[in-house]
Amino acid sequence: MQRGRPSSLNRSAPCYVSSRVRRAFARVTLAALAAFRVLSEPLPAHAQGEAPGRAPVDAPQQAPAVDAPATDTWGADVDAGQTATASAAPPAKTLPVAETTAPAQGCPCPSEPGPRAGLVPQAVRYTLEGVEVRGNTRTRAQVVLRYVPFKRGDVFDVDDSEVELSRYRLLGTGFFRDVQFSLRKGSTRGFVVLVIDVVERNTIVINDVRMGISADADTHGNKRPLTAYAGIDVAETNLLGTGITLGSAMAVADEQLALRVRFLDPAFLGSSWMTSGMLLYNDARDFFGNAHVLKEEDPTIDASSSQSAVVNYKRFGGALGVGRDLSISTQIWLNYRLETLDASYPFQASHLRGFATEPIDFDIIRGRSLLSTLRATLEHDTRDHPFLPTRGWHATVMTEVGLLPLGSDYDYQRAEVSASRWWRLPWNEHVFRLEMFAGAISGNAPFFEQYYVGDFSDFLPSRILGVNFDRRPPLNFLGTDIVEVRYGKYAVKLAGEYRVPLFRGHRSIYGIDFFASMGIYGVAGTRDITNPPVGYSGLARVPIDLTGNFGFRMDTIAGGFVFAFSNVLGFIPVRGKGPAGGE
Amino acid sequence: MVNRGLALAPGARLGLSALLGLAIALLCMLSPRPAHAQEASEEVVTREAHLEWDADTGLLYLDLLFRDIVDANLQSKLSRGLPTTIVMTAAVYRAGASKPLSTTAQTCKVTWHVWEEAYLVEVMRPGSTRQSWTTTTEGVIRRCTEVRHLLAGDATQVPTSVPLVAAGRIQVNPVSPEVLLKIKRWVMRPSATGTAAPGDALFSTFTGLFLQRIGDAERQQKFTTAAQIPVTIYSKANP
Repeated sequence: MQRGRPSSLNRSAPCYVSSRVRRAFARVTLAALAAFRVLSEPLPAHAQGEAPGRAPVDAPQQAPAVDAPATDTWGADVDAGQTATASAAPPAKTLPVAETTAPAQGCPCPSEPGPRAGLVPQAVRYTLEGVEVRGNTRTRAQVVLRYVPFKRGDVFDVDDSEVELSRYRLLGTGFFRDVQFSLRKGSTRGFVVLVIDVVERNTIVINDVRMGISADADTHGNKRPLTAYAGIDVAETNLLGTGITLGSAMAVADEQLALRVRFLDPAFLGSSWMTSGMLLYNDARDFFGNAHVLKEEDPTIDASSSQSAVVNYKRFGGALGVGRDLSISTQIWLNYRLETLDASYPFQASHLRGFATEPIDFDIIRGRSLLSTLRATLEHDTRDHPFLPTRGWHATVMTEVGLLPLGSDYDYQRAEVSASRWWRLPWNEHVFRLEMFAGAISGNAPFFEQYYVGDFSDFLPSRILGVNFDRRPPLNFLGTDIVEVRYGKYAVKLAGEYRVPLFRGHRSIYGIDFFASMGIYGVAGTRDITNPPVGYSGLARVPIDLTGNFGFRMDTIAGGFVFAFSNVLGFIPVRGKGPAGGE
Repeated sequence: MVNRGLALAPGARLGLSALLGLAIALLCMLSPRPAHAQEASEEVVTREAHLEWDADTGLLYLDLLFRDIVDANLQSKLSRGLPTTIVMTAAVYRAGASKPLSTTAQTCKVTWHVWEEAYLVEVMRPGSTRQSWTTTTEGVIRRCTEVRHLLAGDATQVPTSVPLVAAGRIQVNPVSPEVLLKIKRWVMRPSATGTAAPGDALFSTFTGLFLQRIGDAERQQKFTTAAQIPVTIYSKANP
């Protein structure tokens, strides 16, 4: 596509051909016209030299194909069935001659009116008089035009791949069931109007559904039977036809609730900047203490023992973000977050860490506090598919700081790098993925901002909307002090996943893959590094362990689903030796 | 801290039962249909074809009709002013064999010139390109879907006097792998439009759904022909 106003050259010599070529063009055109008129006469098949099962012989001026014999007859112009129609057509409509002998303004350039004329085909170009959107009852025309890079006055090349890309881009918004582009005549010869016909669709979508079982504790920290948890994320991706996404999510478990509302404006005030916003409410709890937990709920009450010391807390706040695409695959975001926290937990509590009894640090301010942070994220995504990728990268670099000047009670800094790479293997379209994560936090981040072992081990439920549903320590295959860690300020993970395609379809289910993954991860707090728990020695003082999973990934009409077995396997008691793990 | 087995509270059992029921219902709803139903567009159609040997030149020619590929929907698109391409690729096999002896192709590109009110039809074949104008969709269909005398092999590739089968694929508006990859990236994250990232919870399910529908072509159909011994002709004797 060529942008901008058409130049004077475009107007005076719209066909972009030299005078010599134009003369040749005119000669050929006249010859073709004569041939067309001759061939338009309804001739009987035998008169055209038609052999049984053969096409009629071509016009005599046509040269044979290079590799074909001289008697090549493949390109019949007129046959018995076609003759009547062709001859009925008014000759004026078959007169591209006028285009070459008296070029009009603008540029449709019928490059070669005669068959096998020997001229190099010219691009078919017009001047764009305007862009018209039809069929949009809810979606504003400006929203559609946002995805179309053609503007009034542009030189429009019908072969420009941008045309098809724009169509797919519109379909990819999820706003439309069908999108078709077409051209119609403009007010002046050579000018056209690009018509975009859209058929709108339902834009309320389910983004995420999660269900599972977990082991938690009551408000006094006493172990309870398994409980169920669930989460759902729903979004309207085209709010009031503006192209803005408004989504809400909810997670529930026994006596825990998390709500979130998010919006995303992909073109803030029509610009290339994106904006996002989020409101979050959590009424949740978390479970601390490895073993032999003693707690004092109130200074006036004697200490009591339980399985866990429970933090009850509420979070309410929101975030505002601004982002921009740096390229097709790279995006940068800046987010400011402000939350009020209200936490209550035992007056004091201790637990058995290794062989030593130590106080529990809950890493949150008792009562009301304020969290204010600024976060920058750079994301690079070259995957070929969001759910079952077979190649490409997905890498993220993130840094976040707590803003004391803006009232934050938590002064901390965080830096994270994560990257995944997918390869299609040379046999049977199997796919291998390598995943890497590294993150570090310095300062006094609240516990829910720290790295949680369940987010790295597949055998524990990961957090949903920031809420933790499980009180259990991680499995401990390697017999390290990972079993003493719940939250940490340092985390690393290296994992590989092997995927085997089992089914590919085009209707309700698009793909089913079997997958198996295995990796190693480590989560540690500052104290785990500077003062490892008593009772561990050698490499057992390095809080690392294995993780793994297997199951099926299904890409369906309703979204992507993962049926994995690690959540169930997590209930199999696997504990290495250790003061807490070997209890 | 050791898990001593699964002990479910009555409430949890009820919740789990509900979850399991929901999961089973979901699985039933999404249960895979038979492969042939899923892959309807990939069904192999048996088409009539005509193969002939030119004994004088030692060349094999193929005649094939596939007018039905241009349905009403495609006909309406022909006059939209943007190019439509119909590609037929075929391979010639010895009957019963799986290794192709030779291959051939024909590409037909149709562009409606809005100011001329005529179609420019460009037909590309092995070794030749041909352009012609027509004012009717019938003219387009005839030029693009009635393949006559298409060079399909020569005597060095294909043995004479043996039963042959032609099999291949017809595609409407095929997309090259490079463009396909570009489209998928655009769709996943249109530049300067900021749709939610695939990893994001707000990533539209339907974007993922749509990605699955981007195929190699707008429409495609596999075909095969019945086994036949090519008719022998003598072009020099009857030019």
